Order: sequence, then C-alpha cells, then structure tokens
Amino acid sequence: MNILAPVRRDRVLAELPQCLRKEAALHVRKDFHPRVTCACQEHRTGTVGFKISKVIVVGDLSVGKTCLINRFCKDTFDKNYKATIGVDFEMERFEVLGVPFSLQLWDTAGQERFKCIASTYYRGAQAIIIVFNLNDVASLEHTKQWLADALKENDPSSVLLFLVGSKKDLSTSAQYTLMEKDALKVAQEIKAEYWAVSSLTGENVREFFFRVAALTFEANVLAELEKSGARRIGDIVRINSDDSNLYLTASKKKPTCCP
Amino acid sequence: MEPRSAAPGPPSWIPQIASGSATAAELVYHLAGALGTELQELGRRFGPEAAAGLVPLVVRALEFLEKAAVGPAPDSLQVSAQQAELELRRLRQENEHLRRQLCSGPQEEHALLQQLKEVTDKQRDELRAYNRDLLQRSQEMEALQEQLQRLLLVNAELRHKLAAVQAQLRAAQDRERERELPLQGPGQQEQRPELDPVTPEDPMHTSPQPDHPPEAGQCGFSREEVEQILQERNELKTNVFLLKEELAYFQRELLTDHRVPGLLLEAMKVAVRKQRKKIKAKMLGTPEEAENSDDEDGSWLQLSSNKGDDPPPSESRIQSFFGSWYHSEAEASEAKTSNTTPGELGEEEEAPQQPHLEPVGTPPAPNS
Repeated sequence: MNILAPVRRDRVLAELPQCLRKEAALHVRKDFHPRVTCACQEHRTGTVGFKISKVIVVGDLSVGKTCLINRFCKDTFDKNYKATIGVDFEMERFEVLGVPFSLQLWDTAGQERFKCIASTYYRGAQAIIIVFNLNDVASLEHTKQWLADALKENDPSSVLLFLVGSKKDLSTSAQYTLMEKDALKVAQEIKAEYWAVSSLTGENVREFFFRVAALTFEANVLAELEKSGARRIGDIVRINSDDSNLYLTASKKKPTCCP
Repeated sequence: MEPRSAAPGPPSWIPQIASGSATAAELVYHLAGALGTELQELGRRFGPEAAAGLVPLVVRALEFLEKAAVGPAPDSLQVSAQQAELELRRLRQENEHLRRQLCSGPQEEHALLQQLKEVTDKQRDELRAYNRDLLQRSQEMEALQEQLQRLLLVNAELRHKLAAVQAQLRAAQDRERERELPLQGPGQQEQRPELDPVTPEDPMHTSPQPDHPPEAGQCGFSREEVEQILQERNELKTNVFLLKEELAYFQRELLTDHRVPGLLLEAMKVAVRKQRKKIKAKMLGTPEEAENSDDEDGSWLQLSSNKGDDPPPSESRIQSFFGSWYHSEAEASEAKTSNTTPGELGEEEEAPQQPHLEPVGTPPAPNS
C-alpha cells in the first residue's frame, strides 16, 4: 500500500536510456548495473522506492531552465520570459525497473539578485543540471561558476552532473557543431554528461530527464546496497519492523544472487 | 683527156668541199659517180677485163671515204650534246627552284608556328588570368556568404535577445507597477539593465515610490520575507502534490470496488498520514523525527513490497492493516509530542487526529 497512485504509463523505465554523446557521458553501459537490476528483481531496493531524489537546475538567467522543466513535467511551452522568483519545484514520479522513484526538480532563479535565496536550496542535491544557452557562449562559460556554487553545498564525489545546452532549435547545424565542441570540452572537464535540448520543440527533453532519473536511481540503489554492506537490506528491515512483518518475510523472495 | 676532165673537176669541187663538212658525203658520192663513169669508159675502150681488177678496189676505197665523210655523224652528236646541255640546264633550274622552295617553305611554316604559339600562349595566359579571377571571386563570394550567415545569426540572436529584454522589461514594468518585490537585501541592488529602459517611467514611479534606495523597505519585501513566502509556497505545493496523490490513491481503491471496512480504512488513513509526513519532510528538506526513522523505513519497505502486485490482494490489505495498526499506536503517542510543534505538522493534519478507534460504521467514501 502506498499513497502514491500508480505511476503514469509514460514514466515507466524498463531499461536504461542511453546517453546523447559517448564522449561526455556519466557512463556508457548498455544496461543498469547488474547489482541494481538484481536488487530490483528481488525487491531489495530498500527505501529507494520512496526516496525522493533532489535534482537542482542551475544556469544563467533566461537560458530556459523553467521552460525545460515545464516542457517535461507539464508538456507546455511559454514563449514569454518570466523570471523565476527564488526557487520553484516540480515533482516527477517514475517507475524504474518496477520500483517507484521520484525526482524533485528544483528550478532555481538565474537572476543574480535571487542567487542568495536560490543557493540555500542547493543542499542535498543528488544531481545537478547546469543549463546553458546553445546560442550564447557566455552562458556556457558561466556554467563552471554555477557548478562551483552548487558544489559548495554538496558532496562533489557523489553528485551526478549534467551539462545541458538549451534552445537547440535556434541554432543552425553549423553553429551547433561549433558550440557542441566547446560544450563537450567543458563537460569532459567537469565530468558531466552532455545533452542538447529544445524545450520549444521538445527535442531530447524526455530522453534527457529519463536519463537523469535512471542514473539517479541507479546511483541511489548502489549507494543503498553499499550502505547496507554486509547486512542485507531485506534482513535488516525484517528484524527492525517487528512481528507485524512476519507475513512479509514469509512471502518475500529470498535473495539468490548478487551479494 | 682524163686529166682535163679531171683537172676542171677538182677546182669545181674544192669550193664545195670547203663550203662545209655537211656536203663532204655528197662530194664522195659525186666522186664515186665520176669514177664509175670513168671506169665504164675504160671498160668500153679496152674491154671489160681491163678495169675488172680495179673496180673492187675503187669501190672499197670509196666506201672508206664514204664512211669517213658520213660515218662519224657530227650532226647527231652535236644535237645530242645540245640536248644534254639543255636538259642539264633545266635540271639545274629545277634543282635551284626546289632548293629555294625547300629553303623558303620551312621558314614560312616556322613563322606560322611561331605566330600560332604566340596566340596560344596569349590565350593560355588569358585563361589563367580568368581562372585566377574566377577563383578570387568565388572566394570573395564565399567570404561574403559566410559574413551574411554570420550577420543573419547575429541578427537572429539580437532579435531574440531583444525579445527577451523586452519581455523582461515588460515583466519589470508590471512588477514595478504592482509594486511587487523590489528586493532590498544588502548588495543586491545591482538591478539589471532591464531597469534602465524603464527610466522614462521612473519619474512617475519615483513620486509615489521613492523606496528605490535599498535601505528603505517600507514597500518591498526583505529577503527573509521572500524566503518565508517561498517556504510557504513550497509547503503548499507539497501539500497539493500529496493530496492529489492521496486522492488518486483513494479513487483507485474505490474503483477496484473492494469494500473497505471502516476500521481498515481508518488504519489506512493513519498509515497514509505517516507516509505523507515523511514524504513532505523529504520534499521540503526539513529534518524528520529521527528516533524512529528506521522503524518508519520498515513500514515503507513493507508497504512497497506489497505494492508490487498491482491489484493488491486482500492479504496485503490485512497485512497493511496490522502494520499500520502497530504504527498508528506508535504514532498516537508520538503525535502527542510532535503535534505540539508548530508549522508543518499542525497545518498538515487537517484530518482528526483520532486513532484507529474511529467507528466501524464510517462509510468508506461519500460517493461509493
């Protein structure tokens, strides 16, 4: 029983979405980590199913952070610029490998004057999406500063980075190629996964967020498995959650593979 | 008589002989005629035998003479020599002509060739020049096209920026007009360029709203206030999200048309409330009650594994019932303490805090 209603059918991930460019990807494996797949099959994902992964979206003003989120979460696009005040967030629920998983997408203000407010929401992010405008080199140059600010509040070793070029529809293919070269370089430097999207046309938006969801989920489960270490998540839960769970232990499948 | 006849004879012949070699043969024939006549006379006078021995000798002598006079044929020799000479001259002339021709022919051809070469050279140079010209022009054209492309891009970009700036301006004006949120935090008044174009309107604004200097915060919101507003908005949004999900959940439960016993429903409600509290704390990043987080995680897991099969079988309902019963007891005690804290808990729990003792008869839902 879960108060969360079933996940929308178009938010179900049965396999790992692939990266956009192999040169700048967090990893290029074809499938989820075998341990993750195994854990999901055996319902040994611990609390991940109810974990809400915090994702923050940062970047220069008017690069299209809000539009990107709105395109994915609401499938809308507003041509008019409306500055985000401080922060905003959207919830997006997925089902990855049969396990419910939620992303909380924090949309931050790009305007300088809101930065001190927005930055208080950086803490505890599991993924950082740095957005820049594919038609504005300066916005790409500023991504490193955005990253530095966001990493002040987070653990650089565990957070997943995504570098996203927006407004792809506005750049010609020649211009895009040039920009992509620079962006790939930056992405490799900061060890981020590179994506290029258009919120206007919707190009790559869904693919991108699915990738974010999948990789965050994978990292979460792996961390969970690691944390439990020698003790098995299933076991520890059984011990802790008293006699009322005896029914469960009986019905639960025994883990058969993957330590 | 012979000498006489002979005597007058020779003087008449001599001039004839001297007159030319051409007549020498005729002289021999005259001589032969005269000798013949003389010999015939001798034969008649003295018998034919008298001159018989003489005739063949004379004939032979005359024949020699004839041969001497006629035989060498000086005429024909001369003619042939002349002819040869003519031929030689003709040949020589022809030779010379030919030689001249031979000599003059190649020269002409050479000149022609020279001329031809010059023409072709000139044409080749011209062609090369044209080629170079063409290449240069095409390069120029390419450069121009590139520039055009660049300009178009710049144009598009500028248009886009202009649109963005205009939109910003409009938004800023709106904001200004509605006197919303001119943030006044220290060091935050680096008001964007968007404010500059507003200057024409500034005079109007400055009179009723002289609070542009950041220290005066009569009309705008302070940073703390904005943060509070945001926090409140986040909480409300979280509540909306949770309530929507909860609604969807109960709707689904009702649609699966299992009649939910009231007691069970109440237990579910309690469990739901617990879940909601936890999700909410996660969403808002606020710390949750630490003491029994493990315990709660357990309930989460338990609930999650139940959820695996889509239409939850009755068994799972019973399980959840027991599970939440247990938890609701814990919560009941914990609620007493936690409920005193203001903020999220207070406003979250609109539902009565009654535990599972809610009467069994409560209808599962008003519309079922």
